[in-house]
Amino acid sequence: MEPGDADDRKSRAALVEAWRRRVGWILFLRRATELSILGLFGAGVGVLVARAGLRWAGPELLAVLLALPPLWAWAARDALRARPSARAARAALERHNGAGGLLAAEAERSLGAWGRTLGRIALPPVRWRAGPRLALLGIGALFLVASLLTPVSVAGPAVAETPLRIAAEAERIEKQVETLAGERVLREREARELAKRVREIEKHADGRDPARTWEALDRTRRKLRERGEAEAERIERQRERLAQSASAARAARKRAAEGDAKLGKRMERLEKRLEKAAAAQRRLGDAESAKRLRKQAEALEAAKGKRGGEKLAKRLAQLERTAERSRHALGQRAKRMHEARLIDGETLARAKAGGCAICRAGKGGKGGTGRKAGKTGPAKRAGSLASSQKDGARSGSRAAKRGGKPGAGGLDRGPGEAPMWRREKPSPESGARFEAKKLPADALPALEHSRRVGARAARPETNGSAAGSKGGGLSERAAGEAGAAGARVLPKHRDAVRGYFDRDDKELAPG
Amino acid sequence: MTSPSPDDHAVPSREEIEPAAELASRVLAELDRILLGQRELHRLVLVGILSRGHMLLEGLPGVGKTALIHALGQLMNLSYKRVQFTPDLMPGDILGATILQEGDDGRREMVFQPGPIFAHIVLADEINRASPKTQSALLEAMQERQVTSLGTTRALPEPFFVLASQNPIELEGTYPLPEAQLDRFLFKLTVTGASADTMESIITSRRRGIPPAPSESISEEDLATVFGAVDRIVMPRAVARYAARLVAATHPTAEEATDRVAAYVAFGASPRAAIGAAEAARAHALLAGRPTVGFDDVKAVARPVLDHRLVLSHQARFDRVGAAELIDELIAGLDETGVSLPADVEVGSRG
Repeated sequence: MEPGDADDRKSRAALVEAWRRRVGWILFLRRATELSILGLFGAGVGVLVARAGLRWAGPELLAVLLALPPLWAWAARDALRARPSARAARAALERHNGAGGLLAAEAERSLGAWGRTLGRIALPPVRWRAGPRLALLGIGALFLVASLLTPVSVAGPAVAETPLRIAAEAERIEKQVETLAGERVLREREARELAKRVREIEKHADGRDPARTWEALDRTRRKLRERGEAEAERIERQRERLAQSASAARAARKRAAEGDAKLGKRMERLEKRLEKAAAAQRRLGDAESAKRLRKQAEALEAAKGKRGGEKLAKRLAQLERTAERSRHALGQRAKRMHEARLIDGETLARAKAGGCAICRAGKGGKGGTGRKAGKTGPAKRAGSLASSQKDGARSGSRAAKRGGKPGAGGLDRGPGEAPMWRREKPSPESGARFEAKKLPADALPALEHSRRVGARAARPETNGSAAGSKGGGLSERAAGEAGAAGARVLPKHRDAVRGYFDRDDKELAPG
Repeated sequence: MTSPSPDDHAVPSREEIEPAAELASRVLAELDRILLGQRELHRLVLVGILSRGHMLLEGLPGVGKTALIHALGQLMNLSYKRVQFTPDLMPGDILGATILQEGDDGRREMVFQPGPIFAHIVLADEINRASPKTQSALLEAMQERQVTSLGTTRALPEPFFVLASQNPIELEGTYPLPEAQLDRFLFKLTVTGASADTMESIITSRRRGIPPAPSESISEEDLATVFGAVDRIVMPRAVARYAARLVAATHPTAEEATDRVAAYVAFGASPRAAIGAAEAARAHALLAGRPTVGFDDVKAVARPVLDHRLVLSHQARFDRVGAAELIDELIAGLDETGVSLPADVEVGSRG
C-alpha cells in the first residue's frame, strides 16, 4: 500500500466518524427536545402545584429548570446508544456515494489501487423533521412561563388565597399587651415579644389553616388573660391588705383618742402590716406608693412615743388616706385591665371589693379588729365561690366570660372567634315592609294560653353552648321537656350579627 | 480455480479482476450480437453461469431459449446436450444406463453408457412435462454434480450447468417442479418475447432466423480465470448483511417483512437463496469490473434468485399478486445500510 493510499483510507475513516457524530448530534437534539418537552410540562405542573399547594413563590421556583441538564445528559446517553455503528455508517456512505462495495470493504480489507477510484466521498445528508417537536417545545416553554407568571389566586384554590381577617382581634390583643406593659405586669422585653408574635400571627393568617391561626391567637390571649387574672388577684389581695391597714389606722386613731393602754401593740401590728403592704405594693410595680407607705410607717414609728398626741392622730389619719388612695389606684388599675378585656366583670368586682368586708367591718363593726376583718375576707370569698359553682347558669356565664366569647378557641372548641365581615353594600331597607305571616297554630303557642302541666325535678340540660341566645319557642317545642336547646349564634358570626344590629342608620339609607 | 486464502486481507488487484471482467464482457457482447433484443437476459444468464448455478428459463415457445443456451455453449467451448422432457422419459434416459456390451476380444461385459447429463451444459427442455421420478433424477446431479448408477458414483464434467425451460401455458399433463427441486435452481429467468424492432432486425438480418456463429470463444483456461476471479470478489459484511436481511424479509413472520409479504407469502426463501444471491452478486460485480460487491449487485440478482423460491398463499393467487411484485417491493422498501433511525430522521440518498 502506498503512503497516499493510507492517508486516503484515514481520511475516509474520519469521514465515517464525522458522519456518525453528525447523526449522533441530531439524535441528541431530537431526544433532548423530547425530554425537554416532558421536562417543561412537568416543571410547569410542578410550579403550579408548588404555588397553589405549597404557596411557594419567587425566583426559587426557577430551580425547576435544574431538571433540564440531567434530562439532556440522559438524551446524550440515548443518542450515543442510538448512534449508528461504524459499519452501518460506512454502509450509508457506501450507498450514498455508489462506491460499489469498495467503501464498505475498506473497513475489512485493504483496497490497494482500487482506493484511488473512489474519488471524493460525500457525506449523506441527515434530515430531522423537527417541526412538530419544536412546536411542542415552544408550547412547553410557554406553559412553564405561564405557570410561573400565573397569579397565585388563579393557581390556587380561593380558600387558600383568602386572608383570615384577624386584624380586630390582633389589635385587641396588642392593646392588652400594652395595658399589661403599662401596668408593669409584663416586662418590656416580654411585651415586645408578645406584640411581635401577634404581628407574625396576623401576617401569616390565611384561609388554608385557620384553626392554627386561631389557636395561636387563643394561646396568646389566654396567656395574657391568665396574667391579667393573676394580677387582679394580687390587686384584690393588696386592696384587702390596704383596707386592713386603713381600718387598723382608723381603729388605732380611735383608741388613741380614748387613751387605750394597748395602743402600743396595735401600733406595732399596724407597722408590720404597713411593711407588708409596702412590700406588696412594690411587687405590684407601684414603687412610689410603696415608698409613701413606708414613709408613713416610719413617721408612725416616730410619732409612736407621743401618746395621746395630736401628731399621732394626724399621722394615722394621713396613713388612712394614703391607704385609701392606694386602694383607689389599684381599683383604677383593675378597671383598666377590665376595659382591655384582660379580666371579666366579676373579677373586676372581686378585685374592687377586695377588703370591702373589712372596710364595712371597720366602719360598722362594734370595735372590730383588723384580725377579725382579715379572717372575714377569705371566708367570704370562699362562700362566694361555692355559690358561684352551684349556680349553673352563672357558672356558664362565667365560663363564657373567661374565654371572652364562647368557643373562643382551643383544641376542643374549634377555631374560635372569626369575625364575619360584611363588605357588600347594604340593601336599602328604609320603608321596607314585611309581609305579615301568621304562624301555624302549633308553631308558637301563645304564652298567655300556656298552662303548666308539671315540673321536672332536674334542671333542663342545655346543648352545651356556654352562652348564646337561648332557644325560643320554636326550638323549645322541638326539644321537648327533657332539654332546652339553644339556637346559638356561632362565635364566628357574632360580630356580624352584632354588626347588623349595631349598624349605623346611614347604612340603611336608600342609595 | 482459486479460492481466497484466509490471510489475504486485500481485495483482488486490478490485474486479477480486469482480464476476467474483459473476458466476461466479451462473452456478453457476443451473446448480444448473436441473439437480439435480450440484453438483460443475457447478462443474467452469464451471471448465473459465472456463479456456477443452474437456471430455470420460463417463456413461451420460440422466444430463443434453446438458441441462447446453444450459443452460450459455443462461446464458452463447453459441451452441450439437450433433453426434451416428456412424460414417458425415464431417469436412465438422462443419467445413462449400464448395458451388456461385447468387446473386440469377444468378451461381454456390463458397460456404463453415459446419458445426456454428462455434458457441461444440459438443456432440460420443458422439464415440467417429465414425471416426478425423472425430475428427481436431476436432484443429485444438480446438487452434488455427480451421478450414481448401480452403486457407482460418477462425477459430472466441471463446470456443469442445468438450464431447464418450462412453458407457462399448456399446463395440462405437466408435473410442476417440487419446491425442493426449484430451490436448486439459482435463477428463474423469464424469457419475454422480442419487440417489433427486434423481430424486424431478425427478419432482415438472419435467413430463417438462424443466428450467426460465434466469432470467438474462450478457452478452458480463460474460463478458469474468470471463475477464479469471481471467487476472489469480496463481499463486504455490510453488503452481506443486506443480502441476508433481504432474504429473511421474504418470510411472512420476519421483522422487516412488508405487510404484503406477510399477507401473501406462505413460505419465504431458504438460506440457499441467500448463498445463491451472494454468489450471483459476486459474478455481477465482476461483470461490472469491480473487486467488491455493492448493494446494487445484490439488488440486480435478487429478483431472479428469489422469484421461484417464494411460496405464495392462495390469497395471492386470488388477488393475482406475483412473487416478482413482492420482491420488487421488498427491494424498494428495505434500507440497505441497516441504519436504524427514528421515523422522523432520514438519511438522504443519492440524487
